[in-house]
Amino acid sequence: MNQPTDAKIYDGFMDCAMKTVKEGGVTSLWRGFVPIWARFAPQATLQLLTIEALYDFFGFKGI
Amino acid sequence: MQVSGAAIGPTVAEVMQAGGIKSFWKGIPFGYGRELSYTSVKLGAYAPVRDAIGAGEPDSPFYLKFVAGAITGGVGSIFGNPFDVMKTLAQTNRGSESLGALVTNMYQSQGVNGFYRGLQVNIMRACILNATKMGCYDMAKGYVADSAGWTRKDPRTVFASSFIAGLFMTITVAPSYVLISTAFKTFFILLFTHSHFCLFKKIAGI
Repeated sequence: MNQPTDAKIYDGFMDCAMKTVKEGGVTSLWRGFVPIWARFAPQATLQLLTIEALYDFFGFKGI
Repeated sequence: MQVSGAAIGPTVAEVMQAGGIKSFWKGIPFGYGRELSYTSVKLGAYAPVRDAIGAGEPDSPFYLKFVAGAITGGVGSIFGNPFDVMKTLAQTNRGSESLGALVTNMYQSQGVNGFYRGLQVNIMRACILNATKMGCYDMAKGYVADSAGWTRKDPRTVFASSFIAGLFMTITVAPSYVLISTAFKTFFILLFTHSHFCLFKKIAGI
C-alpha cells in the first residue's frame, strides 16, 4: 500500500510484514517471484562457477 | 511490480517509454562497487569462514554451512550498504547531476549516516540470502554428484547445483524484497516527489 507523506502507515519492519499479509494474503510476500528468480538463477550460476575456479586457483578447498 | 501489482510485461514497457533502454543500466557504477565489496566478501570469505567454524569436512553438520553463509553475507552487506543506497538514489534521480554530485549531496544533507540507511534490514536480507545460497548449493552438490555420478568439481555439478540454489534463495529472499520496497517508500517519498518514486518502482521492477 502506498504510504502517504503526511501519515505513517507502517511502524517498523514487523508491522509492515503483518499489514502486507493481512492485505494481500501470505502469497503476496512472493510478488515478483519470476523476475527475482530470473535475476538470481544466472547470477548464482556465474558467481558460483567463478568462485569455485578462484578457490581452486588459490588453493582453497572447493565448496 | 511488487508494490503496484502490475505484471512484468507492462512494467518493462513503461520503463522503456519513460527513459529508453539505457534506463535499465542507471547507476551501474554503484552496482560495480556493490559487487566488488559485498559479493567479494560474501563469496570470497565463505570457504575460510566455513573451515574456521569447523564446517569444512565432508561429515560436518549442514547447519554450520548455513551459519558460515549467514556470517559472510551479513558482514559483506555492511560494506555494500553505501553502494546500495547510492545505486537506488541514482536510479530514482531524474535530474542531470553526476554520480559524484549525488554522493556529495547525500553527504551534505545527511552525513555519513545517510550511507547506512536501511542497514539493519539489509543485513537481515543478506544473511538469509547467503545462508540459503551457500547452504543449499553445498547440499545440492552432494545430491547431484551422488545421483549423476559426476565429481563435485565437475562444471556440470556446479551448474546444476547453482540452479537449485537459485530457486531456493528466490523462495527465501522474495518476501524481504517485497517488505524492503514497501518500507523504503517512506524514505523515498519524503526525499523525492511521488513521480520520482513511481519511476523508481518501474526501474527497480517492484
